[in-house]
Amino acid sequence: MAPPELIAELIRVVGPRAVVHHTDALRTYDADASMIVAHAPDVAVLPGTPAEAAAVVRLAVAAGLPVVARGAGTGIAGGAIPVRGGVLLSTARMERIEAIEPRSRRALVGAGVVNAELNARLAPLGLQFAPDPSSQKASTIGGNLATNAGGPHCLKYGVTTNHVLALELARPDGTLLWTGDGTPDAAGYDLTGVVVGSEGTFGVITRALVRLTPLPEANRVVLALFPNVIAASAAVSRIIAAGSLPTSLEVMDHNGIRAVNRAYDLGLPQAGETTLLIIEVDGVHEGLDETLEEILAICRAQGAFELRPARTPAEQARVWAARKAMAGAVGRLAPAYLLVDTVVPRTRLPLMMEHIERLRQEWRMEVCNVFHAGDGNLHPMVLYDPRDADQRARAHAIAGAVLKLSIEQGGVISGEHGIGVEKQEYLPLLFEPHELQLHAAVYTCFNPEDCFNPGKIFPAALRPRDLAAQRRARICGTGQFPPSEAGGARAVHQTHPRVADAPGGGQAPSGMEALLPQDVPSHPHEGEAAADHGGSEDLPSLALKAGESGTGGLDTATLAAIVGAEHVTTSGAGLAVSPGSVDELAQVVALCHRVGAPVHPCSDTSQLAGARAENPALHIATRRLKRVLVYEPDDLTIGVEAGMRLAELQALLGPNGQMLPLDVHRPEAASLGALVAIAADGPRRPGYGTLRDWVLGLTIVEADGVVSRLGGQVVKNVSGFDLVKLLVGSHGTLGVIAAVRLRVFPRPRATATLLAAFAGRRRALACLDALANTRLQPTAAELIVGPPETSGPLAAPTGGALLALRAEGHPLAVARHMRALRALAGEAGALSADELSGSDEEALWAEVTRRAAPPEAPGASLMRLCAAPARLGAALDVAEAEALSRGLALGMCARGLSGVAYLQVAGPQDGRLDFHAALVRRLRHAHLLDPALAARAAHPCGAPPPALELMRAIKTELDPFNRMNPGALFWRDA
Amino acid sequence: MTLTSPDRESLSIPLAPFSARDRPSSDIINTCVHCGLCLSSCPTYRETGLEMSSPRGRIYLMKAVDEGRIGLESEVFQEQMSQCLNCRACEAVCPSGVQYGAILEASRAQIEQARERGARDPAAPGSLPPRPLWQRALRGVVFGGLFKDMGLFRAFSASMRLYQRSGAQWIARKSGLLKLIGMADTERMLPPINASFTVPRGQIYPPEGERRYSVAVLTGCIMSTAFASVHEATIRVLQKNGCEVILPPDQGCCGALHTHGGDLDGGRELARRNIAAFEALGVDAIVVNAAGCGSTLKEYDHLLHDDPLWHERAAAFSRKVKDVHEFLAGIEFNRAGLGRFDVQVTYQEPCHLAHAQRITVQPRTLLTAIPGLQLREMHESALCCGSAGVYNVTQPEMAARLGARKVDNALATGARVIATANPGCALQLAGELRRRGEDVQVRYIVELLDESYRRGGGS
Repeated sequence: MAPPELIAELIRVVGPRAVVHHTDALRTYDADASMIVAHAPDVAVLPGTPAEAAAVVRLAVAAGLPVVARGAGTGIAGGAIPVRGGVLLSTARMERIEAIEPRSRRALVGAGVVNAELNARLAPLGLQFAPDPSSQKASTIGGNLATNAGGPHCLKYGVTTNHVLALELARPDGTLLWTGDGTPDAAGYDLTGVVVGSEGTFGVITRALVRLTPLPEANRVVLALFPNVIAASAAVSRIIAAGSLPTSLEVMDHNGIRAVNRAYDLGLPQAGETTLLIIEVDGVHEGLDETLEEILAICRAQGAFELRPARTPAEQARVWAARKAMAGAVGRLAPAYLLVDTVVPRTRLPLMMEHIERLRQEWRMEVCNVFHAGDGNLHPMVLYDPRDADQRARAHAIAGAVLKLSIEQGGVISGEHGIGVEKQEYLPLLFEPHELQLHAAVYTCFNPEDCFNPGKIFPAALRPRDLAAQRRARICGTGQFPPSEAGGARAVHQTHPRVADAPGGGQAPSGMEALLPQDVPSHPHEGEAAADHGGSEDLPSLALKAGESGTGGLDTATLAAIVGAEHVTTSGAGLAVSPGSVDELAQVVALCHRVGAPVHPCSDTSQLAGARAENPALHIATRRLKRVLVYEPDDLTIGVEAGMRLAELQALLGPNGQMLPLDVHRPEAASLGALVAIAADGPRRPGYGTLRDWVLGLTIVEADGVVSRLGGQVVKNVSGFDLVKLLVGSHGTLGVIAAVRLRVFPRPRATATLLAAFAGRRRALACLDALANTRLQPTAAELIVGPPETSGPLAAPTGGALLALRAEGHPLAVARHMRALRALAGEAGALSADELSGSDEEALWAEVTRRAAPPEAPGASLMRLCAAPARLGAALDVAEAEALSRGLALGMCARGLSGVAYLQVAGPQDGRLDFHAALVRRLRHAHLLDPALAARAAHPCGAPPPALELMRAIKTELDPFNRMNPGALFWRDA
Repeated sequence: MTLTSPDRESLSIPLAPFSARDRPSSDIINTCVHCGLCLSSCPTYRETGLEMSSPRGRIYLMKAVDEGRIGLESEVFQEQMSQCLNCRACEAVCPSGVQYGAILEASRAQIEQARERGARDPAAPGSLPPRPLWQRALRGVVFGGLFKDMGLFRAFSASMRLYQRSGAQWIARKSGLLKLIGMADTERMLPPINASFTVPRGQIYPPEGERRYSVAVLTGCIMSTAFASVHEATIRVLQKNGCEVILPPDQGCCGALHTHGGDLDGGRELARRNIAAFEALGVDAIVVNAAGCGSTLKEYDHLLHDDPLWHERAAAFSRKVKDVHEFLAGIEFNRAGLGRFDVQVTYQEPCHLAHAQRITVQPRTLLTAIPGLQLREMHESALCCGSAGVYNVTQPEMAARLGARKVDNALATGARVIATANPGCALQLAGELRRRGEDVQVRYIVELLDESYRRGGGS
């Protein structure tokens, strides 16, 4: 029971009906859908608004009680069980859908909104919130976010994290904080990404801005029957390997069929081990049957003996209702089940099925296999009677064995349910102790006092606070931050003296330095860092004098001993080393850590040739790190070292009919590590997403030279925090990216682009608006405006605008898109519309990427402008007016459905700076991607993000001495 | 994975555990795997957001009593067993097939039995404090008298009609007397009583045209007085469909109020009487036009499953019971005779039709067969309207919240008629509409069919 004063205060905040404190009533909150452990809270509270939720958190923390958030309690890893009592915060009353913006394809919803109800509201608008966990009829958006929920349709559409733009969190101090404003690609750490899947330990999610997806125009569902689960799994592996990307591939074995036949009367054969594979494809009508037929041919070849189409929407609904009710329907087979949620590379599915069958026989238990096969996400459900201790023990034995086998096969221990209490003791099987420390370090930034959902995720014996302290001790030599904690940490973010001295820097500059994509270190700051920590006896550092090299103390001999003399060079820009392996890289970073030298990762030191830095630094080039770590084409995943160039990666993937759908200027020079560090995007993001969606795992070298692996090599993963998201777009400020594991895509069978010319931008934007309102699935929609050109693929009249609209996929679907897009362009008043393919199409897109890259001509800068898609037109108007008033030439290239625009601005330096400052003032999200100019800009990264303090806390925790690429990605204090 | 830790609150010893008689089945309780898919279907959960007010929460409370962790004396348990509408929406969506209605009714019976034990001997083990004397008296009159003796019931109904027509109602309403005795909300639900009652005396109504079926109709209690006109419409519609319609004598109330209210023995007595009244007729179907009665009749076999003498007879009886919509949609019903009826209708699904009997398509099939009728679906059409038998009396506040929610949803469609198929729903909707002064009618589906046949000419 909670203290009466607390109950009285809670009642004052939320009213008497929303506070549950009777012991018997509290029992109903002692379990979620897992019933693994039972522990009741001291009090349960149902706030109705975010402000009430924040007040509840404040009261709970003040009373010294933990806060456990609960949505509908449909989780099956024990995530919502208050294992240490405290205040249970139910979001059940926070069920308002506050706004739906169809053109920007986003919605603002309360955490307690039920997934299915949001989708019911969206369907009449032709939109959906794509994550469709089986519990969606009851489960809430907040709960979906906390576990990064998946679902049958995530094979095509991705999991929850791919569909959220920003979150509102109740923080330990009782304040509310938005992780961002929902603008795509806003600069700063991806806090949204790391909060998703953190299972309520990072704060209470109170609202979310979620991304919406158009409903497909058409779909097909087929039930394929196989003689056994191994054959069905083999078919799934073959379908993925063949380059098809169905919407769903779901397997249901004979026990699953038994359960749903009873519940849903699907009339499926129950003979022997007959196993069902549910196949769904969607898209435009054209080409759909042909795509399906290719998949069915594979099924037949793999032994499918019957293929039953579900033709009507009602039939399809019944199939999916049955599939999604599976976990509950198992209640018809046994009083309880233990659902093991692991993910393995898809090629290992048949092998895992054999293992599970062996375990089943060995332990004499029934197992029901119903799983998201297309993602490699296994869900063996071990059936048992909880009242029988022996059965219970055997069920747990099987579950433990499946977890271990999954890890052995390169998998992870949770794909969508989370760790909760169910798997916390298994986490050390997946992560080394120092990797757990890294998880704990991030955890303490969000939840320093252990007040949110304590006792979860980490093994019971390992307190996150202790783990974080161990990491600090590892890096700083004590459990505390270095004596200069405040200074050291803030220096990263504060005005650098040299920057302040720069022209125009008389008043305190408060912008952030643009991180430089091109691997050219922007501003060496090692002098300050060293000076800050100079006094620490544990941390011998360089006593730098003004003007001295930032590499002092690092002698070439020591570096040469690590990497070989030929890989250490000196130039006007400073020292450069090129490690030949991840291990060498780690040794170099460790050395820098010991001597207190800052680390500037870059992909190729040749780019430094001739450069003359004001304060030379140590550059670590990754150009020799280009080994392939793992590539199983049939899994559609690849792992490579970070120095591999994009063009080299594409060359590897090409022969297997695969690709990374990222188009950047000069792919032969762009390393994957750098691309991930700057979160590069490409024009094809409407069709495929961005690197944020494709990076499955990273190997990083932490500030003290320790090598840690984040994420995994599988397409779904909720095993520990999603630290990968923090690193994507971190500009090397949290660690050096040493290796990248990626999801790759089958090359489309056909591609074509419609290039439409319009007399003015407004007409082109009207065409985009009309396109956004359709159910077409273009893979790119680029708006190109000026500067006028008379030749080349993007020749356009003065004042005119071009739209490049691309479609990829089955030839029939591409042809249909071209027809439909041409009609849309015509209706919007296009002057001309040409269909391009082959080398013309390639040349067009090469030119588009050039327009989104730093201009080669002197006197010009690149800037990135981000806005909600609905406000893109207005943002471009502002940019044009501001450029015009300063006499600047402006070329704009905008991802029209995504809200990201690249501006090439030419004119006098001061004019460009002033122009950028005006954009920041009026539009907030304007990044100045020009290192020389950024040094002088007040806000090079745009206006400070709302969660800047939290970002700083993370930076301080992970890199307390500010040695990881100092000078990049920071906002100065105002 | 951690094994279950002992509940830290399990140390106090419950005073009143489940007793053997009419004990909620442990097997049914344990069929619930706690998945939570029922939550969003539950009206009381939707209104409160409280886990204990959800089906899963209530089953969990039953499980706690079943396993001896809490007792019947728990006020939370009693309140939740009472607050449940028994609408069984959860049952319809439950993937595990938990027979929720059965364990809820048994749990209510357990509470009533313990109270009766307490009335006989307050010191008896496992007893609960008895209900206050006036409540016991009222329950005795209602369950034991009024609904068991249809003659008495008709007399009571006639007096109510007198109350309505004599001016006494006007006086009672205006004087504030009803508010004084806390009966204002309940009184508003009182239906305008039909002038003539349907008294089953073995009447046989001939089919129109060729005789295709022979059916018997349950006249019930409130349907035969307040809604006698609905029976008349039902009989005409059945005749139009080639049915010979029999109203067997000696039948009575179906016993729904008793079984839902925890008086299982009272329900059994009525069940036996109805079985005896109908079983010898040899009809093709026993047709019921009230959703609540239909579901009760269909479950007589469960109600009497412990009774060796009656169980088989009950099962045979239940197999013959057909809801009137189910019956009509299941035969080649007479579409040709339906005349044009231009009206905008929204359909409020009675819980005991949609959930307990899983009849959702047939009522819509019939409605949309009427030429000119526009069916406008309302949001949450299958969420309980809050009527639920005596729920208006036992849980007036929740009943009012749900009634308002339902009428909001119905009015949002712009329909001029709310169609339904159950007396409780009809009263609840009409009461809420009257309170708001809304000029929207509440009609039974069979009444709309009857009207359409009338407009189509013929007799």
